[in-house]
Amino acid sequence: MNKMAMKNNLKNLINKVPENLWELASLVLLLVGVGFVFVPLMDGIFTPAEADMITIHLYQHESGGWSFEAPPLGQSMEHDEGSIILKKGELAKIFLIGGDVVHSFVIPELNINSGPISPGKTKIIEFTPDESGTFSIYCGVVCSPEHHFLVYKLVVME
Amino acid sequence: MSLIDSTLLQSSREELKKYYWSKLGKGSDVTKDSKLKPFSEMTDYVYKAWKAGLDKKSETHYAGALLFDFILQCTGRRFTSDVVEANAITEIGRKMADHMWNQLDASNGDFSAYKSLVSETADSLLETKKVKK
Amino acid sequence: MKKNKKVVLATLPLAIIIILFVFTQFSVISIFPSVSAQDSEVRVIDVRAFQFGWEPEIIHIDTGEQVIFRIEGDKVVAHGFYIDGKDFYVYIPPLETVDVGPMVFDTPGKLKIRCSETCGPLHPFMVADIIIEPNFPYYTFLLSALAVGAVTVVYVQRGPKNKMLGVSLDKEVDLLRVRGIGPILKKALQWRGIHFALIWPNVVIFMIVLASGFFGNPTGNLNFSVGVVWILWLTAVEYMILFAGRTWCTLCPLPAFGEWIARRRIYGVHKLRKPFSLDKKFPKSLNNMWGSALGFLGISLVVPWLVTRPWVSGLLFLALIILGVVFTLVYTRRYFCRVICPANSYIGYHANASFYAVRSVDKSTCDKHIEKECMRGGPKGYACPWVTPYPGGLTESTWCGQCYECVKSCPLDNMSVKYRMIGKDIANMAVLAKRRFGMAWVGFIRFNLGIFYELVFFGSFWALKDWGNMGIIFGVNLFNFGVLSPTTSAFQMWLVWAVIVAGVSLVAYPAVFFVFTSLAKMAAGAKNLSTKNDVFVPFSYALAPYGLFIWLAFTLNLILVNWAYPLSRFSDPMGWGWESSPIIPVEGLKASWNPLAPELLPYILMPIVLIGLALAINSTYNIAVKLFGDQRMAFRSTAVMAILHTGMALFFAWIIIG
Repeated sequence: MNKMAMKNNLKNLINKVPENLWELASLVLLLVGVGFVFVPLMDGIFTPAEADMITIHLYQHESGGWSFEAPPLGQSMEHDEGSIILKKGELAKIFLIGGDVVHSFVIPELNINSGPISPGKTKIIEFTPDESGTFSIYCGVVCSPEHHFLVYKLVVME
Repeated sequence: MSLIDSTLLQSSREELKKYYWSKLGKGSDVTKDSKLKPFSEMTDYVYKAWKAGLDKKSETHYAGALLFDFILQCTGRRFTSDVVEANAITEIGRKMADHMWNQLDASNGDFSAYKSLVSETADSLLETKKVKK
Repeated sequence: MKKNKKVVLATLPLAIIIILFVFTQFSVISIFPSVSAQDSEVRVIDVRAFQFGWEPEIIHIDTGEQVIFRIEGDKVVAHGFYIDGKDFYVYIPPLETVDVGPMVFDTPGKLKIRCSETCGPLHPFMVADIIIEPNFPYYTFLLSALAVGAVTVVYVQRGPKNKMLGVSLDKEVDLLRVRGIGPILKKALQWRGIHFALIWPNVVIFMIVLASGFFGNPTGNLNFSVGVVWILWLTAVEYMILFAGRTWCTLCPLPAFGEWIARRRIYGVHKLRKPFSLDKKFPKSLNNMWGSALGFLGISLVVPWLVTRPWVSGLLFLALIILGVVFTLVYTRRYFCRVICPANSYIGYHANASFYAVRSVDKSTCDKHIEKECMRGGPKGYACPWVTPYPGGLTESTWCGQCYECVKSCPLDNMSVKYRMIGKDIANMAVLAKRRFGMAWVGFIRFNLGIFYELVFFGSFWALKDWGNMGIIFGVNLFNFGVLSPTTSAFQMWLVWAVIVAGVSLVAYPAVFFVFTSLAKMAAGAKNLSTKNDVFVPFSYALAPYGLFIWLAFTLNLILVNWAYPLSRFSDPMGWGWESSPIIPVEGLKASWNPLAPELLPYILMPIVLIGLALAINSTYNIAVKLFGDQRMAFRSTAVMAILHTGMALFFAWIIIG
């Protein structure tokens, strides 16, 4: 190749760069756009709950009872047998999120009743358990045909 | 490789003169390269398309359109309102591309032969005599 | 005198609306002595709330009567009690009875009871009717429909040449050459980056649809995939069709991924024209409207689930994206759009009743031009991906997806965007349409489903909703989709729904339409034409504007009542109680449910339908003139068809206010 041809090739390459740059930029932007599929993972950023709160999502449950279901992904809406563990004398902050229908969060033995929580709405309840032991948490608003199943336990440690 | 038929060469030369070279003016930036740019882009494309095994009919048509597009670009235009110009240029482009393609078929893609054909055709279009060794 | 006539006729659509409003305003002034508030006894009306309706479905109340609603709460969930035009949202706890009132209704007509507390997937459609007697507005609506039908028939009797409701169909404005905004639009459409720029925001939106559809709150109105798509997007597309043709297709991300891969370019034109695809030839027999039309009908068979269950929506869009990529990698061009995408059937069909169209500037220039880069592709733009097949020669908007490749590739700057009166191309299309049964059936399906959905979703007939919903009360995301597996009885309910939906759209209404077209043909005395090909299919094109306006009405209903759901979903797409989101990172913008002037809904919807009626009758006339070539024959056949079209408008009036 003579000098003229090399010069031409170089010129072409330089002209091409802006075009290729635009393509690359579009591709990067596209990948960013596709990245929005990970919006659920941003729950940690956008949930209004604060760091020291226990977050509980209130959902009805089709085959028996209602359950707490906290994202992120991969957790099935199975009949949840877990419990909240608190310490006696320590302030507990619970962040409640209305899930699919109206629920409420009631611990009768500790006189705690969040009142009805509408879907999409949130409520913070604070209390300090002054007794240790195991207590039952109920939903205080009928929320599904299988509403009456006890799901959660509150355990207060010494 | 055989050169393009002289009638086609003549008409190509005329159309290029009419629609392209006359518009370039006579400044010092009007080099042989700038006069031939659309033609060389077109011939480059014909080779690439042939090599990629694409369809001759659609690619020779496209080559004609490519020639025209570069002429527009090099004369600082995005469009023309002159259908006659558009038709003339794309036609000669297609015909030349068709000839190039046939030659590539015949020589089974001999690149150096193709390059010399292109260069000879360019010289013929510009009517510059090459010193024969 | 002639000029004055033209002016009068040109204001016909406006006159229709004014007449209607004047009539109904008079109806507000009750001519019967109303019972004064102090004299009347308070009547207790027992209402029972359940998932997802009220019992009784229809309540009759006299104007001025004092009533108390005694609402028996559901055994299973809480509901809310709201009446159009009133300013309360009463919480109805389960198992309790709540008294609401006393209250008085002064204006005769029809109002809806709506549920104001999310109670499950069908919550936005939990509706009952209150009819305030004497229901004058119903009769004035019926009269108005008859009036509009009659006036339009009288109008066409005068033999308007090439007009639609007084506006000449020859006039058009070249949008890209309009002073000021034209050149800006032109530069935008000829910029290669416009496509990506318009599609990118929708890529983001679709990704969020997928994320929320599968993993978000299983209740529809709390979920982006249902709340935004089936309320905001659905409405936006209809109005885009009227004002901007197939602009949704310009913005649609579904085929974009496949197209970018096949082109190996997002932004520019790849120099080498070898697409990254199998580049197979698409079978001719499948290259028509039927695939898309049946897809749309298929969706309607599961529509109560689709528009209330996030998982179903997510699944549909995931499937469409995958199909979009696969089809493009096999066939290169937009065959996914043409044959698979259900929206294509109606967006394409109704685009012919749009103001907006992509057309060549000067046909003769195209005729003289040999190369035709718009069709074959050129250095500045790809060959028409929509296989129109020749953009320069476009005379209908059905298959032009408005990707503007032709506007970019034409070296003669001869492709542009035109704005003209509705229905310019309908008569010409219809006359050549003899065997385009796919198009005819899109018209029937769309027209009927528009009316049917107004009846199902915003009417009070619980049974209809229940059949479609198959009796399942739960919302659905990826983690509990098992609830959707129907029992035998649920399947039987669905069969009733399917038979009604498919039966009416595919068989019953077309049969009625066929009968009317035979009568129209007889009235016209056109003995040498075949009804099936020559009259039935062409006349069905009148449903292009009519069906569009029915859907404009239905979606307006949807958005006026439920606008807060899509809006709030931008702040809380997953339905997890977020106050802000990656799309709107500002707190405090989450809207609460608050229907916009719902008591005026019938007065807003009916004029829209009546404009559609007038357009349908005028379109029929324009088609008939081209078909029969004789003004008298055209008028007679139009008069017969007008009976059917007006009848359907009367039916719509009954649905919204009867």
